[in-house]
Amino acid sequence: MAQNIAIVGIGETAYSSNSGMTGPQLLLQACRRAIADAGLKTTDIDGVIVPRIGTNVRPFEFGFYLHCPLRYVAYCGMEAGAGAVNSIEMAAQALADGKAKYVLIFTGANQKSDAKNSNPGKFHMDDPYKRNLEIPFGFYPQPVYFASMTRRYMNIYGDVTEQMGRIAVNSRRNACLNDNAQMKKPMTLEDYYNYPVLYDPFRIVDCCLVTDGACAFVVTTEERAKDLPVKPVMVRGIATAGIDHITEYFFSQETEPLATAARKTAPIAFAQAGLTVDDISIAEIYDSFAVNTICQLEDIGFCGHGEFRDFIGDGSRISLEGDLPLNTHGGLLSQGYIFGMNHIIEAVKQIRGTANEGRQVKNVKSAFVSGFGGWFQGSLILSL
Amino acid sequence: MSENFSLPDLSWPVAIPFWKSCQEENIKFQYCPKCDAWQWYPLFECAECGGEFEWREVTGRAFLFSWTTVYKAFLPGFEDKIPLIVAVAEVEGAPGVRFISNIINAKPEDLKVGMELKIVYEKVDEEHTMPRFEIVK
Repeated sequence: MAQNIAIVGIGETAYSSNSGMTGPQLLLQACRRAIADAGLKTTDIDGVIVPRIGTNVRPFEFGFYLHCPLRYVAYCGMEAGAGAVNSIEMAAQALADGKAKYVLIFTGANQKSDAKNSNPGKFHMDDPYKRNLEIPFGFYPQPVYFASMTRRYMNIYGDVTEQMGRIAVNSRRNACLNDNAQMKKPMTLEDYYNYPVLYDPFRIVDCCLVTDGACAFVVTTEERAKDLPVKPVMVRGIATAGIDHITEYFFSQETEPLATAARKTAPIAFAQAGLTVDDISIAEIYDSFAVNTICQLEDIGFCGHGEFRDFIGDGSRISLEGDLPLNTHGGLLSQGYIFGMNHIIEAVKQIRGTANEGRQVKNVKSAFVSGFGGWFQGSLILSL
Repeated sequence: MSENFSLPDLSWPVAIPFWKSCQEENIKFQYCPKCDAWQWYPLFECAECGGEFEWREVTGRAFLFSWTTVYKAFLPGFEDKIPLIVAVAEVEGAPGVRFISNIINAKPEDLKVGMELKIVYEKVDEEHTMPRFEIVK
């Protein structure tokens, strides 16, 4: 199924701390840009999928705003980056079943300027289990969850503070070369160390941004894609899954928080694509916190468990000139937090060869996108 | 006055027996006798058999699983608690029970995965007795 699907249009808003638009306006701007990029009219879109987390809108509203003759409308229930990937799987099914011809997928919100309604901690705060059994002990919000996982990682495999710093520095360098990124102030490893530790072992620059912004893209079949003016980017491999103990849907209750579902999904995606890790030109890995990036890279098989320190070395391997350029857009750490959908948009740009000058990696054949979302994860392999 | 996030809502139905056990300084967790299985977080009925839980006492010991030290408070109610060690520990004799609390009277650099902790009780006010961890020397 995956082999027959293409991403044919991408759209994004500016990523900022204050968009100056309403949430629906922000989403509409990304949607219109994606539809136009595909060479389509809004009235061509007959399917809409919205990952449930992050946006405060209902998918069908966008049929109203854009005059889309909708036949297929769905929420995607997987969270964050996993939802971004899973939405493509859902679209593939809808297209295969003939339920839609062109499916629009989007996400985004004014997470920063409308923090009261849209900040990333909100749904944690609203959960009575967290409010009563986690928050009174200070286990809140995401930086605390993932800092505690990182302490465990370091206690088992050894200190990776310098390596987290190299991830942050790499992301910042790429963001500085990106004409659409929230964090543009250059940062060296020395600058990194000068930030105080707030949630041991995290500094503020180890933590995901909070962003006003939206992403959208259009998916269709390979056959229909041939009739469009753009170079279609093909889905070569795609899989999503949850961890074994999905009942433990609290970060505190995961049996093995350092294991992501990439252990299950990456082998499936590679098998579908007929590729291995050695064939991957660039990796766009969900990087809400360095520990997520590290655990996914290890689970996907770019390096063995606990071997990230040797893998990243002095950081040159993951740079734009290296063997495996990582988060070429600046990622969630420095470009913006659009729930990992910005990783998919970036992979499409890099494969098309349209990333802005200075950031375009040479000769990108295949991109690996990993979307992490708490207990779920999605692996996506794209190429021309 | 802003909400004090360092205190739970004792009237939240599913955890009433838990907070009562803390007040009695004899912490208890849910156990399903039919499935011979511990449950945490608390549920209204056993997830697998639908039966009624007992609240069972434990040894009061636990093993450190993961932790962080918070140097900057996120929410009102923690200003005077910083730096705060927030830990997840596996409760002895209750497989599957991962309990979150704060390690008190400890230095962050002394902490190790698997180290033995004991649950102690801090009477915060007339209504709230909060369980905390201490390192077993």
